[in-house]
Amino acid sequence: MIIRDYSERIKLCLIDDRSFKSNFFAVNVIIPLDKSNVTESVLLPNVMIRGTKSCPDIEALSRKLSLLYGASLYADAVKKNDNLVLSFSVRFVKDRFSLNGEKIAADAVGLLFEMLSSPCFESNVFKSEYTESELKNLRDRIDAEINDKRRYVLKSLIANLCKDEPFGISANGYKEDLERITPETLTKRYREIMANSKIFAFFFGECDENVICEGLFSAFDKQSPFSEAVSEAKTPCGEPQFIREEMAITQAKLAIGFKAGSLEGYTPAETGLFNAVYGSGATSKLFENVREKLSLCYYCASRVYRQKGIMTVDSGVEIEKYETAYNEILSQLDDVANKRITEREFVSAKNAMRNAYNSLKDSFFALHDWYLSCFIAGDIYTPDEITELIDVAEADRIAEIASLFKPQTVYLLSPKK
Amino acid sequence: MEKRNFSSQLDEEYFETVCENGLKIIVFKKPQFNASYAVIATRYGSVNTGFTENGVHYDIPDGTAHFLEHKLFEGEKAPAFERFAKTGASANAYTTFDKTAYLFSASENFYESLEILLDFVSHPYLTEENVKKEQGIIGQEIEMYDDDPNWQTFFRAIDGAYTTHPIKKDIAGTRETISVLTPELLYKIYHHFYCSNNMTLCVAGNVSPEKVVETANKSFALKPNDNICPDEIIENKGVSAKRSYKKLAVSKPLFGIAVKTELEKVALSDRRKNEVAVSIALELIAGGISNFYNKLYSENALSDFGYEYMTSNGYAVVNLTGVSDDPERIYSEFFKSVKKLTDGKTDENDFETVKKNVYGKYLAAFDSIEDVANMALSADFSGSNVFEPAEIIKSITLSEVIDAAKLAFCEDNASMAVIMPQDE
Repeated sequence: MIIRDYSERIKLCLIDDRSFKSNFFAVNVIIPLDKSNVTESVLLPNVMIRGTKSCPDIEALSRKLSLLYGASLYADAVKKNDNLVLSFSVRFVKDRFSLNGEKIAADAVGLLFEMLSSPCFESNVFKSEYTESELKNLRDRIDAEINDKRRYVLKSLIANLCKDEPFGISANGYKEDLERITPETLTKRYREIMANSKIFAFFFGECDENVICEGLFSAFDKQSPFSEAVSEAKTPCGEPQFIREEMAITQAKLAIGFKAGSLEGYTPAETGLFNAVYGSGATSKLFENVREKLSLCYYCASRVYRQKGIMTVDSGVEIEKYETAYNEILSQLDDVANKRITEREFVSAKNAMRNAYNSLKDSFFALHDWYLSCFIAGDIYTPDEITELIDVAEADRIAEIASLFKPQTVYLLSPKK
Repeated sequence: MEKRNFSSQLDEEYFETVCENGLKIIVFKKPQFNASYAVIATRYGSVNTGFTENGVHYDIPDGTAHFLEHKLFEGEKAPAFERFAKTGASANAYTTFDKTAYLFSASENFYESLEILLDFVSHPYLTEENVKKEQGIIGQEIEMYDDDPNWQTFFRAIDGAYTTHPIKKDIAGTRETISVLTPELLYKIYHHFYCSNNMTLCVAGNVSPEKVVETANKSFALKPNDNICPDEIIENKGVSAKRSYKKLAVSKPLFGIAVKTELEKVALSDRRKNEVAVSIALELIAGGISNFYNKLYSENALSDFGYEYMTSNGYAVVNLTGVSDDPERIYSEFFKSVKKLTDGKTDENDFETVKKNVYGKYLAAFDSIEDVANMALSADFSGSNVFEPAEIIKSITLSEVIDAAKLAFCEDNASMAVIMPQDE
């Protein structure tokens, strides 16, 4: 893996690979989360993937991608710490696998750059047809958040847990903003973002680096100033707030949000290991006890956001058992904090983590996500460096991390009576 | 190893053999990968609703295959998850209409993990107590699916398209059907279907085929059963319901359309070709280059749209799912688009374009050890091999695609399920 520091603003992560069938190239535009413009930012990738200058509609784009041997083009917006990342990427088969000697790479990379720099405009702004159509789709997407109950509950939990923080902002945007978005305002936002955002590009496969950097420099000014979010971790305070919502469902969902304050003194391996011991995967305390031994929940899992000093635990539970499940989830955390971690639990968590980090190297999607997260956190570790840190991590440190987490928000989605 | 298959076009190779006890083993050597993946499956899934042994017929309650899948992880000395925790492998399992599969991936201690996999699959440990406990856990899983609108549209559409075929049954069963399960009945069913000659092991990764076979010979304890006799599957013409409706907590209507293929009309030797042909047809009818998709998407009449052709020895069904305010319109536009293809009004250039698309997507599956091993497993269960599609895609003609489409998209065999929002 090579990192090219072209400037303060633009970095490229290159991974040379000769053995996969596909190449993968991504350009990530990183912007601080801001409630005043998040909806426009979220809308952008959806409008941009509707068409480019040379492929002005979905049909033309699909035709081009099909001719490039089923290349896949992606554009979406994801939340990473206190940033919104507009991620544009393309996966395509390597030239040597085309059936008639067609060249694929140059066109596929070119198409991604075209999506970024030459969207389908009319009179110098985004096409109104696409803007309106994607505004409707976005409205539907926001409404459809209730369809997936598990995700809905986690999202509502984080919105409450981080109420006055950027991290609490929805990565789908807000319905009340939709009315005031026009092709003009959207184009203005597009130009701001292209001019003043941090750029993290990623290439996995066989490539001509010159083509990549020429494309990057022509799309983005190397030296222009950019804004950057500094992610903050808030310290926990007070008793947990309890929120209950009713819906026409069969199985209740219980989610708990915790805060720990800053976890900067701990390595990603240590916070990851804490998560594995406590609540992530089949070797964790939550899985072994809350699900398997006590049969309290069908699923019960934790997730730690290290930069934010936050943890979520979510579960699917029968409504009559939610209090028992809640107490058990806290009691398991208490066990970790009080060093009631057996040698078997600790070694199992280490083994599972080592396996996860080694396996990460087998997927360019996973590698991209990993290095993007590292880049945003400002700490680049290779998966191998993490596995080395896992080997030397100590149980006392894991207990220390557990003792920092205090429940702050409890969210219960219960069946309508 | 008995047989080595190499494709210079794909730059891939695999080995296959049948062990003395009848277990089939397929191994992809992919030394560039850090982890390796193994999956072992038995030809026993939710469509197996009964069998005959020594002249006695046994009914299998709905959800039993899935129940056994959960239960096999319980070992007499230690649960399988606890054993895998020592090697670091990440293990899981799944049950489909036609198979039950157990799997793991590991970047260290691969052969030790393979021993655990083969050992726990061949040593069930069922007691009154642990069966009862599982009934509670699976009851919760079923409740979760009850609330999942995507799951509901998919299965309700399939239910409507079939008349008597057991594909209609819920894979996990219901709280009632699994409540009758006892250790005795589970053992009986297990011993009928879990036998070496009814199973295949597929491995992909940085492994030695010889060592895989050596491990299987050592740790896989099951014997062949020459009298496997699952109930014959009977399916009538037509559908059981053209439409079905249900209300759930969703924002907009979700639809699922299922169109079954009358499989008896496709010769066994043409099944693989039929699968490729229908996949190409689907791209032409409903894919990114189709008028159908472009018109409906640009009018905001369709979103979250997806499609697939699910095939196996005992069934083949096209599934379409999506979100729309007007599912009836989607349904009729879809069949108009089908007609355009079957009437021969498709451009030959579009056909060549879609072929490249399908070929590229097929190639990309070789970039994942999980996908390769599962693809090889499905191919084996269908009596085919994983390299076959490459040749078929290259040589297939538009008229062959049209013929397959006429059979696969027959409106008489179609059913639509709609999940509607609750009343305010």
